[in-house]
Amino acid sequence: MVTWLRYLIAIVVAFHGFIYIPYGLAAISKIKEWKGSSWILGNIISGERLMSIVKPLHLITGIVTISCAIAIGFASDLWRPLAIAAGIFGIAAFASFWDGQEQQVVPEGGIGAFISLFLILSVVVFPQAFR
Amino acid sequence: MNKNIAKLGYYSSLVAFLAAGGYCIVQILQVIDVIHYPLDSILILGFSQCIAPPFLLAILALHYRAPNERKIWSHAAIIFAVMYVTYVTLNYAVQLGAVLPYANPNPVLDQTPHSLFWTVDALGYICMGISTFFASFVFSTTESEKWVKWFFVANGFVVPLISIVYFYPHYSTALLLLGIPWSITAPGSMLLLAIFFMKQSQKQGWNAS
Repeated sequence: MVTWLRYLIAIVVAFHGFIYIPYGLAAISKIKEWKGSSWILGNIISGERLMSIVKPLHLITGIVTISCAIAIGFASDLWRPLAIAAGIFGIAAFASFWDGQEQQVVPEGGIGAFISLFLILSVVVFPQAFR
Repeated sequence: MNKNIAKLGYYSSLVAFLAAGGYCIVQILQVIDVIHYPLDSILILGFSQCIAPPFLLAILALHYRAPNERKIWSHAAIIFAVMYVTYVTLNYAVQLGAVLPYANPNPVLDQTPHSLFWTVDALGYICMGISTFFASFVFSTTESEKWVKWFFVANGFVVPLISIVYFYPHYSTALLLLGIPWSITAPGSMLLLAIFFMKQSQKQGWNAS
């Protein structure tokens, strides 16, 4: 793969990672539109207990995804395990966070979940992409 | 490179960096409830306004530094920088002069989600991103210019995120977080541009410090 394309992909993946960080730090408690429950988890876990899962999940996703972007930028083989981990954490973060409101699917991580899925697929389909 | 071009470029990009950094700090302080209305709005709008004119001057200096065969890119960058400065200056002047000082301002002027001035602000930052994207083509891929080039590209890539933040039909606090990469790419671009001009000026025998 040509260097400039590798850098561009690294930038997009880094952006994807950076966006998770504020959700993981403090911002989730500031989101007035969030119902405080997860569509998938229903009433099993909600409120403060759910937030104690959602925040670390977002923080871990952000850190792992940024690490993956750095690995892509430097053409390191580590990008593959990092991409799989970032993808899994990203999808889990969305699943635990989205409260089922269709109009909130983008603000609550819909595009992020799609990129996470794409990250996992890219490891399967293009394992030698950044050699 | 002319010494004055390097000086203008260095100081302009440095001021733009400090203003962008100040904006990011104030934004964080607002989110964690350290500062409140109207001080938060005044500081956010004030710092944002202080990014724009120095940014334009820095891009102008870059144009004068650009090799002839790449001047088309820097010229395109200037055009979008002018649009950026015009949009945001109009917005911030209105918000600081005709909205914030009044208890019941004209609602048409208020920058609420999806309002007239919300859209003007969006157009401003979209133009800024496009400007830096065009300007990135001025830099070479050598070790000394690689980082500034890719930060400029990255700031251009923020445009789709800004578009989603401003134009997604359902406003949410969470949506604003999609713009987070800008807080890295914009100050980063300006800081690296200042370093670039400083290195250029040292070649000319001018010491920025």
